[in-house]
Amino acid sequence: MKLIVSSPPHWHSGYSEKKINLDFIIGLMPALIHSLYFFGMHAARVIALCVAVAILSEVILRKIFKNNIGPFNGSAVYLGILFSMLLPPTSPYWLIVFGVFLSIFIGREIFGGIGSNPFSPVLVGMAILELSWPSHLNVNLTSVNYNLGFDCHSPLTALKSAGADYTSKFSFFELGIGNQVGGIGSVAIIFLIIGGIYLLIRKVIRWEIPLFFALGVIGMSAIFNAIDPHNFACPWFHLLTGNIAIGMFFLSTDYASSPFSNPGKIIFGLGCGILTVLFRVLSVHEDGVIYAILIMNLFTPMLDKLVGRPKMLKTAYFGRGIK
Amino acid sequence: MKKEIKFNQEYDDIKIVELPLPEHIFLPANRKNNKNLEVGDKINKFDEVVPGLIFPVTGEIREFLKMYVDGVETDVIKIAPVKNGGDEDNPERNDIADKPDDNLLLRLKRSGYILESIIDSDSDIVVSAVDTDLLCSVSQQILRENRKDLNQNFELFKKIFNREKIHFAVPEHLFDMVWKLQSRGVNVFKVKPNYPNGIPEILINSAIEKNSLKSPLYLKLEEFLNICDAAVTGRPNFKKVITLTDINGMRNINVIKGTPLSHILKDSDVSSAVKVVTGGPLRGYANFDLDTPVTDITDSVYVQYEKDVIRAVNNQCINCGRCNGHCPVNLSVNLITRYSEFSLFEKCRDLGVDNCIECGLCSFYCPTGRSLVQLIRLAKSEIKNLEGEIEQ
Ligand code: SF4
Ligand code: SF4
Repeated sequence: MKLIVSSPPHWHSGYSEKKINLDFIIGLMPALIHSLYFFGMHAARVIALCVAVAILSEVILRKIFKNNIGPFNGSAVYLGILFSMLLPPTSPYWLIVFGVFLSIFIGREIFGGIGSNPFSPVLVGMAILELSWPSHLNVNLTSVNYNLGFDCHSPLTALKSAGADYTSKFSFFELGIGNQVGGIGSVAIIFLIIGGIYLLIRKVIRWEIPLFFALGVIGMSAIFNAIDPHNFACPWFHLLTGNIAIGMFFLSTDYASSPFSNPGKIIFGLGCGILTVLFRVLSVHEDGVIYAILIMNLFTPMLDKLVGRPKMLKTAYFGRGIK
Repeated sequence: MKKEIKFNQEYDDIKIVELPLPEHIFLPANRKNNKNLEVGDKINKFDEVVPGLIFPVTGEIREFLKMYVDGVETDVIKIAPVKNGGDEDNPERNDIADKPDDNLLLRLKRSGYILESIIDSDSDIVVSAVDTDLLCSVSQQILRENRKDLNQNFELFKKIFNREKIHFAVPEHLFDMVWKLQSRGVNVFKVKPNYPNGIPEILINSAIEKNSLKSPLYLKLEEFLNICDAAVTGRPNFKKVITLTDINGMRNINVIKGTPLSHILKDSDVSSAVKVVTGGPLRGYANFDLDTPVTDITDSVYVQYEKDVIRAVNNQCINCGRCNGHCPVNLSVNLITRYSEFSLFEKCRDLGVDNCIECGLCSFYCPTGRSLVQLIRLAKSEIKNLEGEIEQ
């Protein structure tokens, strides 16, 4: 009779990488459905193309790099959907193909695949696109031909060009339920938060990064707001605009590029929030989430050194009957 | 089984049943020390033919061979017991003097316990009735079935070891049975019966935090009773209680040490079993041979069938941090195992890999199914080798 031998443990929780990616995708579903409802076929086109390109590039690149680790586990699908959520509905085909391919190639596979990427792959692709073709990603320019039933003026552009007083025409409620222009999914603030809470309940992500990201944004913008309320918007306006919601729950919590230690996560989240506001206030960019997270990704290896010391649990036994 | 994995160790009252004698038993004994024994020799229960080697049964020596016992290659004597031979006699019961004396030490030594250093030290003793792994209810069942004698045994134990107070860890759900001991110089403290609270290192650590103990020593309840017994009778206890878990559920059985696993599994449907784990699903040892004898550390036997088995894979770490989050000793498991994978063992040591108590929780939770404990063990043994080389 043949017996299987293996080293312990002989049980597994059964929660696999595939299920994690499925949970992430479920977390994005509310925002995705909102985008389909809002932009119809335009959104469907962007999402489908992103997912297709992501899967294809992953398969091809793994062949080329002879990286045959692990079976297909849905991470490309998740990456594709997440990428599409950041794009405006009018993005041209070539831009999407290029962006997604670069996300997978430079963002991930070149470093050795899932888990080895120092930066969040989606953000690498997005940053390249934003720096190279800013006009295609400018939400004001891309939405001129739409009639969405609300003001098609990007709130962040308004803030940048006209100051905080002008932003009072945006109601927080409208912003919250996604009546603003931006990426097809990243505007659906309340839906992203619902998805994020799902992830938190399922323990797919931990609460530290989202919470301290939000606290960073609130704290920093409150300081600016206190200095000059006419020029600098209030914290709630910041939280409800741009990519902050999607950044909080989905972009900054990428496993490989965020710290695993709990103190590290807190500093990471705070840093992302503070840098985002600094970018918005001080730089030429309207929305700084992408760059803020990319910069904090740089600090991840350092923040991981903050883990507590291992506990010493040595003990002595006596008698027989103990290993 | 996989769907309903629970870390709760509250098991029902499952009576311990005696198993009939097996056809053969395997007695570990270094061959160098018993050269005068030969195949065919008749032996009697409790005979001490060779000093330090007491036979647990009456029977005949069949073979001297080597086999793996608890994962270590060992000399064993194969004995065919005589059915109904050497019936239980009633050993003479000695009184214990108020202070440990030479007679007591002799009786303990005859039973295989050399405990002088502990008797003379003043370190605290923690007796634990919390099982160390899942699918094992040995300690709690012994507590249930012996609760009437516990008081007397603790009195005895205090005399043997010359202690004022003994600490006693019991699972929360059984606390009501023993709380009265508290008035008799036993510090009974509750432990939540959840894995990994019963692992000696963790149990002792929480005992230190709760009671501020001095270099505590850990002792299993079963062994505590054995020592008490040996101190009175001068004879070792050859019985071992085991929890057997197979397709029919859990059972508690009592067998003679040295009984091969195949005898224990006689009633189980072994033909479809693919894995036999001794010592629990999270810390246990997967046996490759059903002749492997039961020893002091065999607390449980767990039979896995095709659908329960997890296959080893070598997937890449996705850096999700679950392993770190669940590690009771707070190790950076993801870094350690990556270093270990690429043979950077010195870095593993710097990260404190030696503190790992091999509870198995990291591998249990790892979503990519990496063999983390195996990588940690590799690092530990390589570090030992390295240090050995440096010393030479
Ligand atoms: S087995 Fe894993 S979880 Fe348990 S102590 Fe060791 S490293 Fe930590
Ligand atoms: S649980 Fe597994 S995949 Fe996650 S960080 Fe630990 S080793 Fe990596």
